[in-house]
Amino acid sequence: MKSIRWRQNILIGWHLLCREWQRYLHSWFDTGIDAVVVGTIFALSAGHFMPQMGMPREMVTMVFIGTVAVFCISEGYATGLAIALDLDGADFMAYHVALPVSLEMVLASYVGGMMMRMICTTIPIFIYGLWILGDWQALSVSPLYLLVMTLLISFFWSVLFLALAIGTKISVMMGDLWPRLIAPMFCFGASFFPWMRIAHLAPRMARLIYLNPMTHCAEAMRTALLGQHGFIPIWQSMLVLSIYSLALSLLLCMAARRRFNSPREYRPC
Amino acid sequence: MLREWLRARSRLGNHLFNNWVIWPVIFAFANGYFMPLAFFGVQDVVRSTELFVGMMLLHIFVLSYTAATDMINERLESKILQYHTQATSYAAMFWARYMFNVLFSFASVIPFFPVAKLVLQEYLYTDLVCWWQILVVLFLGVCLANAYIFCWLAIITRVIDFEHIWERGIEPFLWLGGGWAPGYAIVAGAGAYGSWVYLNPFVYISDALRVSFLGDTVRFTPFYKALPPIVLGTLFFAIISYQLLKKRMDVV
Repeated sequence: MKSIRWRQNILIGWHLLCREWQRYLHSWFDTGIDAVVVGTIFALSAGHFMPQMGMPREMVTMVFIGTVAVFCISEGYATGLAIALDLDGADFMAYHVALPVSLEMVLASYVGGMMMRMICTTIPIFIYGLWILGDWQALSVSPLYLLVMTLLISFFWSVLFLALAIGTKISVMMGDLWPRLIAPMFCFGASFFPWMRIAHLAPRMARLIYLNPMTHCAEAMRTALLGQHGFIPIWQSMLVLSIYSLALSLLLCMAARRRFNSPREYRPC
Repeated sequence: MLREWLRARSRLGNHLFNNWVIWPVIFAFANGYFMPLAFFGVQDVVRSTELFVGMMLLHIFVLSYTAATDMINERLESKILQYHTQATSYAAMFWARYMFNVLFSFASVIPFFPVAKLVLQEYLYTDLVCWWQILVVLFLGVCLANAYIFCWLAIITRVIDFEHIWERGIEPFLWLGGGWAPGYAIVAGAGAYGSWVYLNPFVYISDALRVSFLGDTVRFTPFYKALPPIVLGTLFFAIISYQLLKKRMDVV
Protein backbone atom coordinates (compact mmCIF):
# COMPACT_ATOMS: atom_id res chain seq x y z
CA MET A 1 0.00 0.00 0.00
CA LYS A 2 2.79 2.36 0.93
CA SER A 3 4.69 1.58 -2.27
CA ILE A 4 1.54 2.19 -4.39
CA ARG A 5 1.04 5.55 -2.70
CA TRP A 6 4.71 6.35 -3.21
CA ARG A 7 4.53 5.43 -6.91
CA GLN A 8 1.37 7.51 -7.28
CA ASN A 9 3.12 10.48 -5.70
CA ILE A 10 6.02 10.20 -8.12
CA LEU A 11 3.74 9.76 -11.13
CA ILE A 12 1.50 12.73 -10.38
CA GLY A 13 4.49 14.84 -9.37
CA TRP A 14 6.12 14.02 -12.71
CA HIS A 15 3.00 15.05 -14.61
CA LEU A 16 2.81 18.32 -12.66
CA LEU A 17 6.44 18.97 -13.54
CA CYS A 18 5.71 18.24 -17.21
CA ARG A 19 2.87 20.73 -16.99
CA GLU A 20 5.29 23.37 -15.67
CA TRP A 21 7.62 22.62 -18.57
CA GLN A 22 4.75 23.03 -21.04
CA ARG A 23 3.85 26.35 -19.47
CA TYR A 24 7.44 27.49 -19.86
CA LEU A 25 7.50 26.38 -23.50
CA HIS A 26 4.45 28.58 -24.20
CA SER A 27 6.32 31.62 -22.96
CA TRP A 28 9.95 30.80 -23.82
CA PHE A 29 9.99 33.11 -26.85
CA ASP A 30 8.89 36.17 -24.88
CA THR A 31 11.23 35.29 -22.02
CA GLY A 32 14.03 34.78 -24.52
CA ILE A 33 13.56 38.24 -26.00
CA ASP A 34 13.67 39.77 -22.51
CA ALA A 35 16.84 37.82 -21.77
CA VAL A 36 18.54 38.96 -24.99
CA VAL A 37 17.69 42.61 -24.34
CA VAL A 38 18.81 42.52 -20.73
CA GLY A 39 21.93 40.49 -21.52
CA THR A 40 22.95 42.95 -24.23
CA ILE A 41 22.44 45.98 -22.03
CA PHE A 42 24.32 44.52 -19.07
CA ALA A 43 27.18 43.21 -21.20
CA LEU A 44 27.61 46.57 -22.91
CA SER A 45 27.38 48.44 -19.60
CA ALA A 46 29.82 46.22 -17.73
CA GLY A 47 32.15 45.55 -20.63
CA HIS A 48 32.34 48.79 -22.55
CA PHE A 49 30.86 51.71 -20.62
CA MET A 50 31.83 51.23 -16.97
CA PRO A 51 35.58 50.86 -17.79
CA GLN A 52 35.38 54.35 -19.31
CA MET A 53 34.46 55.62 -15.84
CA GLY A 54 37.52 53.98 -14.33
CA MET A 55 36.30 50.51 -13.41
CA PRO A 56 39.26 48.09 -13.75
CA ARG A 57 39.10 45.86 -16.84
CA GLU A 58 39.69 42.72 -14.78
CA MET A 59 36.36 43.31 -13.02
CA VAL A 60 34.30 43.31 -16.22
CA THR A 61 33.33 39.63 -16.29
CA MET A 62 32.84 39.50 -12.51
CA VAL A 63 30.39 42.42 -12.65
CA PHE A 64 28.57 40.94 -15.63
CA ILE A 65 28.10 37.61 -13.84
CA GLY A 66 26.61 39.47 -10.88
CA THR A 67 24.17 41.40 -13.08
CA VAL A 68 22.95 38.15 -14.64
CA ALA A 69 22.38 36.78 -11.14
CA VAL A 70 20.17 39.84 -10.50
CA PHE A 71 18.18 39.11 -13.68
CA CYS A 72 17.70 35.57 -12.36
CA ILE A 73 16.01 37.10 -9.30
CA SER A 74 13.69 39.13 -11.52
CA GLU A 75 12.59 35.97 -13.29
CA GLY A 76 12.03 34.21 -9.97
CA TYR A 77 10.00 37.14 -8.72
CA ALA A 78 7.88 37.25 -11.90
CA THR A 79 7.09 33.55 -11.55
CA GLY A 80 6.37 33.91 -7.83
CA LEU A 81 4.08 36.83 -8.56
CA ALA A 82 2.20 34.80 -11.16
CA ILE A 83 1.64 32.08 -8.55
CA ALA A 84 0.53 34.67 -5.98
CA LEU A 85 -1.95 36.13 -8.50
CA ASP A 86 -3.25 32.65 -9.19
CA LEU A 87 -3.72 32.00 -5.48
CA ASP A 88 -5.56 35.30 -5.19
CA GLY A 89 -7.80 34.56 -8.14
CA ALA A 90 -8.51 31.22 -9.80
CA ASP A 91 -6.55 29.34 -7.12
CA PHE A 92 -5.52 26.58 -9.50
CA MET A 93 -2.80 25.53 -7.09
CA ALA A 94 -5.49 24.50 -4.60
CA TYR A 95 -6.78 22.08 -7.23
CA HIS A 96 -3.31 20.55 -7.50
CA VAL A 97 -3.12 20.23 -3.73
CA ALA A 98 -6.49 18.44 -3.76
CA LEU A 99 -5.14 15.75 -6.11
CA PRO A 100 -4.25 12.37 -4.57
CA VAL A 101 -0.66 13.44 -4.01
CA SER A 102 1.27 14.74 -1.04
CA LEU A 103 1.54 18.49 -0.50
CA GLU A 104 5.32 18.19 -0.56
CA MET A 105 5.21 16.65 -4.03
CA VAL A 106 3.04 19.49 -5.33
CA LEU A 107 5.46 22.03 -3.87
CA ALA A 108 8.40 20.10 -5.31
CA SER A 109 6.86 20.20 -8.78
CA TYR A 110 6.29 23.96 -8.54
CA VAL A 111 9.84 24.47 -7.29
CA GLY A 112 11.13 22.24 -10.07
CA GLY A 113 9.23 24.28 -12.64
CA MET A 114 10.63 27.54 -11.33
CA MET A 115 14.14 26.08 -11.35
CA MET A 116 13.75 24.95 -14.96
CA ARG A 117 12.56 28.39 -15.99
CA MET A 118 15.42 30.14 -14.20
CA ILE A 119 18.11 27.83 -15.58
CA CYS A 120 16.76 27.85 -19.14
CA THR A 121 16.60 31.65 -19.09
CA THR A 122 19.90 32.37 -17.37
CA ILE A 123 22.32 30.05 -19.13
CA PRO A 124 21.75 31.53 -22.61
CA ILE A 125 22.22 35.03 -21.16
CA PHE A 126 25.56 33.99 -19.71
CA ILE A 127 26.76 32.57 -23.00
CA TYR A 128 25.41 35.43 -25.07
CA GLY A 129 26.76 38.09 -22.71
CA LEU A 130 30.19 36.48 -22.54
CA TRP A 131 30.21 36.46 -26.34
CA ILE A 132 29.50 40.22 -26.39
CA LEU A 133 32.20 40.83 -23.77
CA GLY A 134 34.63 38.72 -25.75
CA ASP A 135 36.53 38.02 -22.53
CA TRP A 136 36.92 34.27 -23.10
CA GLN A 137 40.46 34.14 -21.73
CA ALA A 138 39.16 35.16 -18.30
CA LEU A 139 37.08 31.98 -18.11
CA SER A 140 38.23 29.02 -16.08
CA VAL A 141 35.10 26.92 -15.97
CA SER A 142 34.67 24.11 -13.48
CA PRO A 143 31.79 22.01 -14.86
CA LEU A 144 31.13 20.24 -11.56
CA TYR A 145 30.96 23.47 -9.53
CA LEU A 146 28.89 25.08 -12.27
CA LEU A 147 26.34 22.27 -12.27
CA VAL A 148 26.07 22.02 -8.49
CA MET A 149 25.87 25.76 -7.87
CA THR A 150 23.42 26.35 -10.71
CA LEU A 151 21.07 23.80 -9.18
CA LEU A 152 21.59 25.05 -5.63
CA ILE A 153 21.17 28.74 -6.51
CA SER A 154 18.07 28.15 -8.61
CA PHE A 155 16.64 25.93 -5.85
CA PHE A 156 17.23 28.64 -3.24
CA TRP A 157 15.50 31.40 -5.24
CA SER A 158 12.64 29.12 -6.29
CA VAL A 159 11.91 28.07 -2.71
CA LEU A 160 12.18 31.66 -1.51
CA PHE A 161 9.74 33.10 -4.05
CA LEU A 162 7.31 30.19 -3.74
CA ALA A 163 7.29 30.58 0.04
CA LEU A 164 6.65 34.30 -0.34
CA ALA A 165 3.89 33.73 -2.91
CA ILE A 166 2.10 31.27 -0.63
CA GLY A 167 2.81 32.88 2.72
CA THR A 168 2.24 36.58 2.09
CA LYS A 169 -0.59 38.78 0.89
CA ILE A 170 -0.74 39.75 -2.78
CA SER A 171 -0.42 43.43 -1.85
CA VAL A 172 2.89 42.68 -0.12
CA MET A 173 4.14 40.71 -3.13
CA MET A 174 3.29 43.53 -5.50
CA GLY A 175 4.14 46.56 -3.40
CA ASP A 176 6.54 45.98 -0.54
CA LEU A 177 8.59 42.95 -1.48
CA TRP A 178 10.99 44.69 -3.87
CA PRO A 179 11.99 47.62 -1.68
CA ARG A 180 12.04 45.68 1.61
CA LEU A 181 13.54 42.34 0.68
CA ILE A 182 14.71 41.85 -2.88
CA ALA A 183 16.41 45.19 -3.55
CA PRO A 184 18.31 45.11 -0.22
CA MET A 185 19.40 41.56 -1.03
CA PHE A 186 21.02 42.45 -4.32
CA CYS A 187 22.17 45.94 -3.26
CA PHE A 188 23.80 44.63 -0.07
CA GLY A 189 24.92 41.41 -1.70
CA ALA A 190 28.15 41.31 -3.66
CA SER A 191 26.26 41.15 -6.95
CA PHE A 192 27.89 44.16 -8.62
CA PHE A 193 31.32 43.79 -7.07
CA PRO A 194 33.46 40.91 -5.74
CA TRP A 195 33.21 40.47 -1.98
CA MET A 196 36.98 40.31 -1.46
CA ARG A 197 37.44 43.91 -2.60
CA ILE A 198 35.06 45.15 0.07
CA ALA A 199 36.57 42.75 2.63
CA HIS A 200 39.95 44.45 2.24
CA LEU A 201 38.65 48.03 2.18
CA ALA A 202 35.70 47.87 4.62
CA PRO A 203 36.01 44.68 6.71
CA ARG A 204 33.13 45.40 9.11
CA MET A 205 30.63 46.03 6.33
CA ALA A 206 31.98 42.98 4.52
CA ARG A 207 30.99 40.75 7.45
CA LEU A 208 27.37 41.94 7.11
CA ILE A 209 27.41 41.42 3.35
CA TYR A 210 28.78 37.91 3.93
CA LEU A 211 25.53 36.91 5.65
CA ASN A 212 23.49 37.84 2.58
CA PRO A 213 22.66 34.76 0.43
CA MET A 214 22.87 36.91 -2.71
CA THR A 215 26.58 37.39 -1.98
CA HIS A 216 27.12 33.64 -2.07
CA CYS A 217 25.02 33.22 -5.24
CA ALA A 218 27.14 35.75 -7.12
CA GLU A 219 30.47 34.63 -5.65
CA ALA A 220 29.75 30.95 -6.31
CA MET A 221 28.92 31.62 -9.97
CA ARG A 222 32.10 33.67 -10.29
CA THR A 223 34.13 30.82 -8.81
CA ALA A 224 32.46 28.27 -11.08
CA LEU A 225 33.17 30.37 -14.19
CA LEU A 226 36.36 32.24 -13.36
CA GLY A 227 38.19 30.02 -10.87
CA GLN A 228 38.55 30.25 -7.10
CA HIS A 229 41.16 32.98 -6.85
CA GLY A 230 39.79 36.22 -5.44
CA PHE A 231 36.35 34.96 -4.37
CA ILE A 232 34.73 33.43 -1.32
CA PRO A 233 35.70 29.71 -1.03
CA ILE A 234 33.00 27.77 -2.80
CA TRP A 235 32.49 25.32 0.05
CA GLN A 236 31.44 28.26 2.25
CA SER A 237 28.94 29.43 -0.37
CA MET A 238 27.57 25.90 -0.72
CA LEU A 239 27.19 25.60 3.04
CA VAL A 240 25.51 28.98 3.51
CA LEU A 241 23.11 28.48 0.60
CA SER A 242 22.30 24.95 1.75
CA ILE A 243 21.42 26.19 5.23
CA TYR A 244 19.25 28.98 3.85
CA SER A 245 17.59 26.59 1.38
CA LEU A 246 16.81 24.06 4.11
CA ALA A 247 15.33 26.73 6.37
CA LEU A 248 13.26 28.16 3.51
CA SER A 249 12.03 24.69 2.53
CA LEU A 250 10.73 24.15 6.06
CA LEU A 251 9.07 27.58 6.00
CA LEU A 252 7.55 26.79 2.62
CA CYS A 253 5.99 23.57 3.90
CA MET A 254 4.65 25.32 6.99
CA ALA A 255 3.20 28.19 4.94
CA ALA A 256 1.60 25.78 2.46
CA ARG A 257 0.03 23.68 5.22
CA ARG A 258 -1.37 26.77 6.88
CA ARG A 259 -2.74 28.12 3.61
CA PHE A 260 -4.28 25.01 2.13
CA ASN A 261 -5.60 23.57 5.39
CA SER A 262 -7.48 26.72 6.33
CA PRO A 263 -10.75 27.95 4.77
CA ARG A 264 -10.34 30.50 2.00
CA GLU A 265 -11.64 33.41 4.08
CA TYR A 266 -8.83 32.94 6.62
CA ARG A 267 -6.04 32.97 4.06
CA PRO A 268 -3.52 35.83 4.01
CA CYS A 269 -5.14 37.32 0.89
CA MET B 1 -7.65 63.44 -9.54
CA LEU B 2 -9.42 63.25 -6.20
CA ARG B 3 -10.38 59.70 -6.98
CA GLU B 4 -6.72 58.85 -7.69
CA TRP B 5 -5.72 60.46 -4.40
CA LEU B 6 -8.31 58.48 -2.44
CA ARG B 7 -7.07 55.30 -4.08
CA ALA B 8 -3.41 56.11 -3.34
CA ARG B 9 -4.16 57.21 0.21
CA SER B 10 -5.00 53.68 1.28
CA ARG B 11 -1.38 52.64 0.72
CA LEU B 12 0.21 55.98 1.52
CA GLY B 13 2.08 54.94 4.65
CA ASN B 14 3.83 52.00 2.97
CA HIS B 15 4.48 54.03 -0.17
CA LEU B 16 6.11 56.89 1.72
CA PHE B 17 8.22 54.57 3.85
CA ASN B 18 9.41 52.68 0.77
CA ASN B 19 10.20 55.78 -1.31
CA TRP B 20 11.32 58.28 1.32
CA VAL B 21 13.38 55.92 3.45
CA ILE B 22 14.14 52.51 2.00
CA TRP B 23 15.05 53.25 -1.64
CA PRO B 24 17.33 56.23 -0.87
CA VAL B 25 19.11 54.30 1.90
CA ILE B 26 19.76 51.14 -0.08
CA PHE B 27 20.81 53.01 -3.24
CA ALA B 28 23.03 55.27 -1.17
CA PHE B 29 24.84 52.32 0.36
CA ALA B 30 25.01 50.21 -2.79
CA ASN B 31 25.72 52.78 -5.49
CA GLY B 32 27.12 55.59 -3.38
CA TYR B 33 29.45 53.59 -1.16
CA PHE B 34 30.05 49.91 -1.97
CA MET B 35 30.21 50.05 -5.76
CA PRO B 36 32.51 53.09 -5.95
CA LEU B 37 34.70 51.57 -3.24
CA ALA B 38 34.96 48.31 -5.19
CA PHE B 39 35.37 49.93 -8.62
CA PHE B 40 37.65 52.84 -7.86
CA GLY B 41 39.57 51.58 -4.81
CA VAL B 42 40.10 54.32 -2.28
CA GLN B 43 36.98 56.44 -1.89
CA ASP B 44 36.79 58.96 -4.73
CA VAL B 45 33.97 61.24 -3.66
CA VAL B 46 33.40 62.90 -7.02
CA ARG B 47 33.22 59.63 -8.95
CA SER B 48 31.07 58.07 -6.22
CA THR B 49 28.62 60.94 -6.61
CA GLU B 50 28.75 60.63 -10.39
CA LEU B 51 27.85 56.93 -10.14
CA PHE B 52 25.19 57.35 -7.47
CA VAL B 53 23.28 60.27 -8.97
CA GLY B 54 22.30 58.22 -12.04
CA MET B 55 20.29 55.90 -9.79
CA MET B 56 17.61 58.58 -9.57
CA LEU B 57 16.65 57.58 -13.11
CA LEU B 58 15.93 54.05 -11.89
CA HIS B 59 13.89 55.40 -9.00
CA ILE B 60 11.82 57.58 -11.34
CA PHE B 61 11.14 54.63 -13.64
CA VAL B 62 10.17 52.38 -10.72
CA LEU B 63 7.61 54.93 -9.53
CA SER B 64 6.15 55.48 -13.00
CA TYR B 65 5.99 51.75 -13.69
CA THR B 66 4.28 51.02 -10.37
CA ALA B 67 1.69 53.74 -10.98
CA ALA B 68 1.05 52.35 -14.46
CA THR B 69 0.35 48.86 -13.07
CA ASP B 70 -2.92 50.07 -11.58
CA MET B 71 -3.90 51.83 -14.78
CA ILE B 72 -3.32 48.82 -16.99
CA ASN B 73 -5.61 46.73 -14.80
CA GLU B 74 -8.23 49.46 -14.94
CA ARG B 75 -8.02 49.65 -18.71
CA LEU B 76 -7.90 45.94 -19.60
CA GLU B 77 -9.56 44.14 -16.69
CA SER B 78 -12.02 46.21 -14.71
CA LYS B 79 -12.65 48.72 -17.57
CA ILE B 80 -12.74 51.62 -15.13
CA LEU B 81 -10.93 53.83 -17.64
CA GLN B 82 -13.73 53.28 -20.13
CA TYR B 83 -16.32 54.07 -17.46
CA HIS B 84 -14.55 57.31 -16.53
CA THR B 85 -14.33 58.28 -20.20
CA GLN B 86 -18.09 57.82 -20.49
CA ALA B 87 -18.80 59.65 -17.22
CA THR B 88 -16.57 62.66 -17.93
CA SER B 89 -14.52 62.88 -21.12
CA TYR B 90 -11.48 61.14 -22.53
CA ALA B 91 -9.32 64.25 -22.14
CA ALA B 92 -10.37 64.70 -18.51
CA MET B 93 -9.69 61.04 -17.73
CA PHE B 94 -6.28 61.05 -19.43
CA TRP B 95 -4.91 64.33 -18.11
CA ALA B 96 -6.25 63.79 -14.60
CA ARG B 97 -4.42 60.50 -14.34
CA TYR B 98 -1.28 61.83 -15.99
CA MET B 99 -1.10 64.90 -13.76
CA PHE B 100 -1.79 62.90 -10.62
CA ASN B 101 0.93 60.37 -11.48
CA VAL B 102 3.38 63.19 -12.18
CA LEU B 103 2.64 65.07 -8.96
CA PHE B 104 2.57 61.91 -6.83
CA SER B 105 5.84 60.64 -8.32
CA PHE B 106 7.44 64.06 -7.87
CA ALA B 107 6.43 64.16 -4.20
CA SER B 108 7.87 60.67 -3.82
CA VAL B 109 11.30 61.55 -5.26
CA ILE B 110 11.93 64.90 -3.57
CA PRO B 111 13.48 63.47 -0.36
CA PHE B 112 15.73 61.03 -2.25
CA PHE B 113 18.91 63.12 -2.34
CA PRO B 114 18.51 64.74 1.11
CA VAL B 115 18.07 61.29 2.69
CA ALA B 116 21.03 59.98 0.72
CA LYS B 117 23.11 62.89 1.99
CA LEU B 118 22.19 61.98 5.57
CA VAL B 119 23.36 58.43 4.92
CA LEU B 120 26.48 59.12 2.88
CA GLN B 121 27.56 62.35 4.62
CA GLU B 122 30.86 63.47 3.06
CA TYR B 123 30.76 60.60 0.52
CA LEU B 124 28.12 62.49 -1.44
CA TYR B 125 29.76 65.52 -3.00
CA THR B 126 27.54 68.57 -2.45
CA ASP B 127 30.06 71.43 -2.45
CA LEU B 128 28.80 72.66 -5.82
CA VAL B 129 25.23 71.37 -5.69
CA CYS B 130 22.40 73.52 -6.99
CA TRP B 131 19.22 72.25 -5.32
CA TRP B 132 16.72 74.28 -7.35
CA GLN B 133 18.16 72.83 -10.57
CA ILE B 134 17.76 69.35 -9.12
CA LEU B 135 14.10 70.04 -8.31
CA VAL B 136 13.46 71.27 -11.86
CA VAL B 137 15.15 68.21 -13.38
CA LEU B 138 13.26 65.85 -11.08
CA PHE B 139 9.93 67.40 -12.05
CA LEU B 140 10.68 67.25 -15.76
CA GLY B 141 12.08 63.77 -15.32
CA VAL B 142 8.89 62.37 -13.80
CA CYS B 143 6.88 64.15 -16.54
CA LEU B 144 8.98 62.44 -19.21
CA ALA B 145 8.98 59.01 -17.56
CA ASN B 146 5.22 59.02 -17.02
CA ALA B 147 4.55 60.19 -20.58
CA TYR B 148 6.76 57.39 -21.86
CA ILE B 149 5.07 54.74 -19.71
CA PHE B 150 1.65 55.99 -20.87
CA CYS B 151 2.73 55.17 -24.42
CA TRP B 152 3.27 51.58 -23.39
CA LEU B 153 -0.07 51.55 -21.61
CA ALA B 154 -1.66 52.45 -24.90
CA ILE B 155 0.31 49.90 -26.91
CA ILE B 156 -0.17 46.70 -24.95
CA THR B 157 -3.35 44.73 -25.36
CA ARG B 158 -2.96 42.03 -22.69
CA VAL B 159 -2.17 42.41 -19.01
CA ILE B 160 0.38 39.61 -19.26
CA ASP B 161 2.42 41.69 -21.74
CA PHE B 162 2.93 44.38 -19.13
CA GLU B 163 5.58 42.36 -17.33
CA HIS B 164 7.77 42.52 -20.46
CA ILE B 165 7.69 46.31 -20.59
CA TRP B 166 10.34 46.61 -17.88
CA GLU B 167 12.94 44.51 -19.73
CA ARG B 168 12.18 45.65 -23.27
CA GLY B 169 10.89 49.18 -22.90
CA ILE B 170 12.51 50.58 -19.78
CA GLU B 171 15.88 48.90 -19.17
CA PRO B 172 17.38 49.96 -22.52
CA PHE B 173 16.39 53.59 -21.92
CA LEU B 174 17.51 53.37 -18.30
CA TRP B 175 20.98 51.81 -18.62
CA LEU B 176 21.70 53.51 -21.97
CA GLY B 177 20.40 56.74 -20.46
CA GLY B 178 23.04 57.25 -17.82
CA GLY B 179 21.49 55.18 -15.04
CA TRP B 180 24.87 53.65 -14.41
CA ALA B 181 27.55 54.87 -16.79
CA PRO B 182 27.02 58.53 -17.74
CA GLY B 183 26.54 59.71 -21.32
CA TYR B 184 30.18 60.56 -21.93
CA ALA B 185 31.26 57.03 -20.86
CA ILE B 186 28.71 55.47 -23.23
CA VAL B 187 29.93 57.67 -26.07
CA ALA B 188 33.54 56.72 -25.35
CA GLY B 189 32.76 53.03 -24.99
CA ALA B 190 30.37 52.61 -27.92
CA GLY B 191 32.73 53.78 -30.64
CA ALA B 192 31.11 54.96 -33.85
CA TYR B 193 27.57 54.57 -32.46
CA GLY B 194 28.30 56.40 -29.23
CA SER B 195 26.75 59.71 -30.18
CA TRP B 196 23.40 57.96 -30.76
CA VAL B 197 23.00 57.86 -26.99
CA TYR B 198 22.00 61.53 -27.16
CA LEU B 199 18.88 60.54 -29.08
CA ASN B 200 17.68 59.07 -25.78
CA PRO B 201 15.92 61.90 -23.88
CA PHE B 202 16.56 60.16 -20.56
CA VAL B 203 20.31 60.69 -20.84
CA TYR B 204 19.66 64.42 -20.48
CA ILE B 205 17.95 63.81 -17.13
CA SER B 206 20.94 61.94 -15.74
CA ASP B 207 23.37 64.47 -17.23
CA ALA B 208 21.40 67.41 -15.83
CA LEU B 209 21.37 65.82 -12.37
CA ARG B 210 25.10 65.14 -12.51
CA VAL B 211 25.91 68.65 -13.66
CA SER B 212 23.67 70.04 -10.90
CA PHE B 213 25.75 68.12 -8.35
CA LEU B 214 29.23 68.38 -9.81
CA GLY B 215 29.10 71.52 -11.94
CA ASP B 216 31.15 69.83 -14.68
CA THR B 217 29.82 71.11 -17.99
CA VAL B 218 32.64 69.49 -20.00
CA ARG B 219 31.75 65.84 -19.44
CA PHE B 220 28.01 66.37 -18.87
CA THR B 221 25.43 68.26 -20.88
CA PRO B 222 25.00 71.77 -19.38
CA PHE B 223 21.77 72.29 -17.45
CA TYR B 224 20.12 74.75 -19.86
CA LYS B 225 21.03 72.61 -22.86
CA ALA B 226 19.60 69.48 -21.23
CA LEU B 227 16.15 70.96 -20.58
CA PRO B 228 14.84 71.35 -24.17
CA PRO B 229 15.32 67.66 -25.14
CA ILE B 230 13.57 66.59 -21.92
CA VAL B 231 10.63 68.93 -22.57
CA LEU B 232 10.42 67.94 -26.24
CA GLY B 233 10.59 64.26 -25.30
CA THR B 234 7.79 64.73 -22.78
CA LEU B 235 5.58 66.51 -25.33
CA PHE B 236 6.32 63.85 -27.93
CA PHE B 237 5.46 60.89 -25.70
CA ALA B 238 2.45 62.65 -24.14
CA ILE B 239 0.89 63.44 -27.53
CA ILE B 240 1.63 59.98 -28.88
CA SER B 241 0.18 58.27 -25.82
CA TYR B 242 -2.91 60.52 -25.87
CA GLN B 243 -3.67 59.70 -29.49
CA LEU B 244 -2.78 56.01 -29.22
CA LEU B 245 -4.86 55.41 -26.12
CA LYS B 246 -7.78 57.27 -27.67
CA LYS B 247 -7.59 55.01 -30.69
CA ARG B 248 -7.23 51.86 -28.56
CA MET B 249 -10.23 52.75 -26.44
CA ASP B 250 -12.18 53.58 -29.57
CA VAL B 251 -13.20 56.96 -28.26
CA VAL B 252 -15.08 59.22 -30.65
